[in-house]
Amino acid sequence: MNRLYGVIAMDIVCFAIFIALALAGRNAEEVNSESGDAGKSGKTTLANKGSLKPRTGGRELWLAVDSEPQTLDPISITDTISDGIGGKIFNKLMRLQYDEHRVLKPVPDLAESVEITNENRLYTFKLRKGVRFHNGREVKAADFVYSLKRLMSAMSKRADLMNPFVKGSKAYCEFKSDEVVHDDPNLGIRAVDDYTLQIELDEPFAPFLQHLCTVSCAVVPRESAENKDVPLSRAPVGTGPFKLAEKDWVANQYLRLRRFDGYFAGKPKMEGVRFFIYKDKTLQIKRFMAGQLDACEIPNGQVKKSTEEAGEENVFEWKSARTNYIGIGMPNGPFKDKKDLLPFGTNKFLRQAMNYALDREYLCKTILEGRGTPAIGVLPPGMPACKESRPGWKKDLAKARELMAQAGYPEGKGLAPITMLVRNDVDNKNIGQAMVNDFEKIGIRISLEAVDWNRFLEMVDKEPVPMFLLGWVADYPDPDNFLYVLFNTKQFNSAGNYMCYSNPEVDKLTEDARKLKDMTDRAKLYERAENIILDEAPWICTYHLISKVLLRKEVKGIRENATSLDTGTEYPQVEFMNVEVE
Amino acid sequence: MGTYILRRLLQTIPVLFGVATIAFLLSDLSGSPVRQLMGQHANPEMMKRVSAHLGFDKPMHVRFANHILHLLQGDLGASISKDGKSVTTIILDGLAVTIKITMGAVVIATTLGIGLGIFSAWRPRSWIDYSSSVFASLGISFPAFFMGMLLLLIFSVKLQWFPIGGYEAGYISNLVLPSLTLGLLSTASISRLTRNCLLETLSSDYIRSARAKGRGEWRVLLGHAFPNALVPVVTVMGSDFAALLTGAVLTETVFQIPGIGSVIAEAIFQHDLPVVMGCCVVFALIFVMINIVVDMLYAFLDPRIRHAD
Repeated sequence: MNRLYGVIAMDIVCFAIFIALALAGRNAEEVNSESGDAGKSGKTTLANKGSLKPRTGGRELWLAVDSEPQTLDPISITDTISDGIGGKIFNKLMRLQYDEHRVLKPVPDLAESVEITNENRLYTFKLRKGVRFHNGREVKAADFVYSLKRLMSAMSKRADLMNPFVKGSKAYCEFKSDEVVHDDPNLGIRAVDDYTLQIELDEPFAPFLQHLCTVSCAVVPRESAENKDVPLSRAPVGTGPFKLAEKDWVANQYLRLRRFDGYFAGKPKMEGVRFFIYKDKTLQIKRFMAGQLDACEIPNGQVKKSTEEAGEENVFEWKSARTNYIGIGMPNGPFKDKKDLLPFGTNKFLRQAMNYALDREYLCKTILEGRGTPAIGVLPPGMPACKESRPGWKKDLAKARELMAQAGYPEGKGLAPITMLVRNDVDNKNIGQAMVNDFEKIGIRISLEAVDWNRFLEMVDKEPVPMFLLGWVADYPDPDNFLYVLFNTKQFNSAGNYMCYSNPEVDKLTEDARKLKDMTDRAKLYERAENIILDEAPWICTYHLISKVLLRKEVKGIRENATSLDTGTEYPQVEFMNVEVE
Repeated sequence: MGTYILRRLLQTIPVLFGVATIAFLLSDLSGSPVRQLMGQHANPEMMKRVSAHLGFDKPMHVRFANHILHLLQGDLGASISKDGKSVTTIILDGLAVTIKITMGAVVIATTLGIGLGIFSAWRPRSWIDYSSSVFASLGISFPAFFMGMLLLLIFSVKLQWFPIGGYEAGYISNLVLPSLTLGLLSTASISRLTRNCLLETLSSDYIRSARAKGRGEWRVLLGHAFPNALVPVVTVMGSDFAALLTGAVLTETVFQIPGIGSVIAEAIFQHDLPVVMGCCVVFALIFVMINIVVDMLYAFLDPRIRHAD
């Protein structure tokens, strides 16, 4: 009998531990917090019956993200979620802003002004005075020198933003040292005085200011960056409108950014921003409807339903600087002997036929539920030098069949089936399948090969594959980021040109355009390069993404300021400084 | 007893070494994580540098030696996809959540499982027995994700008693359904085992004597038969507990709980090899330790069992 009591006792102990542990993480401050309480959701979700409930976030903006940011150390940021969150914590020398023609341009951020001299090779930045880090110390030019050197250190994942453009950067990067940064008199980054910074380039490079707008080029205080106990990746210290204390990052649950009252441009309007980590998008929508999120992404297949439930006024859409495409592998450079494996890469007419077989309207309207517009070219609308008057391609099966005959495969006769590489997720497979069905109508038989992301990258890195389905979102709003990075012969394989497309004229045009300062002059070269690319069709451009999110109408300042650069958290990139919740 | 424990502890060393080796080899075969880490378009030179920084440029045997050397010092290494965050912290964060669910599951599984088992043994081949048998076969044959979705559908969507998933520290309502899902799965096996062991014990001589002395049926069942029937049940409970702790991947996915199951699933998708290897070693350690504890419990439950020193 005693042993029975033993088991009962064990149960009681387990139950007690369960209750104690379950309640253990409860934070008194959270519960009493005026700005609302994440945990309430446990109860309020009960009342969720689909209709939109009043928001509970108080003067904090509540957003959902799919996963934790990988890191918040600027020099390690390569994923879009980290980029989106890091952007609120850090400032760079420059930032992007629309000009009067609604073109995104770099404007001074922590710099007060920038002067470009010495045949577009010497950049002199006058820095703002009185800018403070979250730890209270003033930012000086030496901090930028340190931060940019750190960006070129062995621990950095984004040294490519500086190397090989900055004078002496190649030698600096190759220098073996245990120190994170070291002295190098030949490096073209120097502090002239406390508030003047100079960066010297080896050759003119027009998109350099755009590089400096990247979060990886943010200024960080040396004392925090070298503190091994509290790494920047977990407890970032920047100069931005919001700051993150270590305790405010609750693993796998949320990150809570709080307002930085000492922000150089004034006090942000919101008290803070909270990023809730919900992997499941359906759960995000449920929480949005229950008033526990101010914004969340709309997953594929739920656009109509969630728009109806939330009401049009709570849906926000904007054009992303993104082009989706089918890439076609070509037997160029070291892959010359792969001709047999790449039948589409050797036959321009086949590729052009694909362009006319594809029903882009149907794809955008039905499969994507309006989350895309038919592609007009490589450059997405809104990008400088994008010729928005391009007609694009209308579905024209007669013309496609004619091109097939010209290619030597009338009705596809004699053409062997081919595989198209796609990422292994439902969306990509559905989109891929819809396209495959279109191509079958003109006799091109394609089967999908779905592989996980790592494998996908390994495969296209190694050699050109016959066909792959992918998209590219601009890192920075400059045509260089599409036309040079993805089509220049120097960029074969992993560097961006997965097709191994090579055309000497495109190479020359994209290289020359880098050296010119004025966008009007550059745009002419880019237009010529893009015309050649569209004619040779190494890409079958499919659609330009239209992002749609659920966004409470009470949130002011996002709709008005949205830029075409999404942050991967699928929210538009905006200055959060002026965002306000009612 | 002391020597016995010591011997068992020493035996865990080759087991852990074996697990660490296999985990390392399998992870190594799956390729380098650097490519995925660098994003869609990566400068080859940069990739080389990052590879070197993370130590992936070294030959396999050197990396293996390093890995084992660090393990011996209790260092599971640093995560790749979380920019150097300590693997130990990541695993502890996950385990902290999983332990909560598992505790709840153990309570459900033991109370319900043993209770049902006793009732079935009390009236074998009665309707109680048959219905508990049906319940057990259902429980064993239902996969966790299906059971989880079913419970979500009934209790969260239809009845709206519990949240629809997700997790926030400090609230029990988030944990009830995941615990129930996990608990019901092992309830089934525990109830069947309890019933069979009880029935076997009930047919032994000393039970006949107890009955002959006029002891009441419940007294015989619970006081005389049950304690002796408990040894195999405890064994199963022990291994179930370990399996619950380490096998909650599906349940955690269904309910969006950021426990150890989610940690390992995410690490696998992101090719975060140190985290995957760390999880394997920690899982092995949990299994081994719980087995030792169960062996210790035998001696307590059945005085006839003595561990030879």
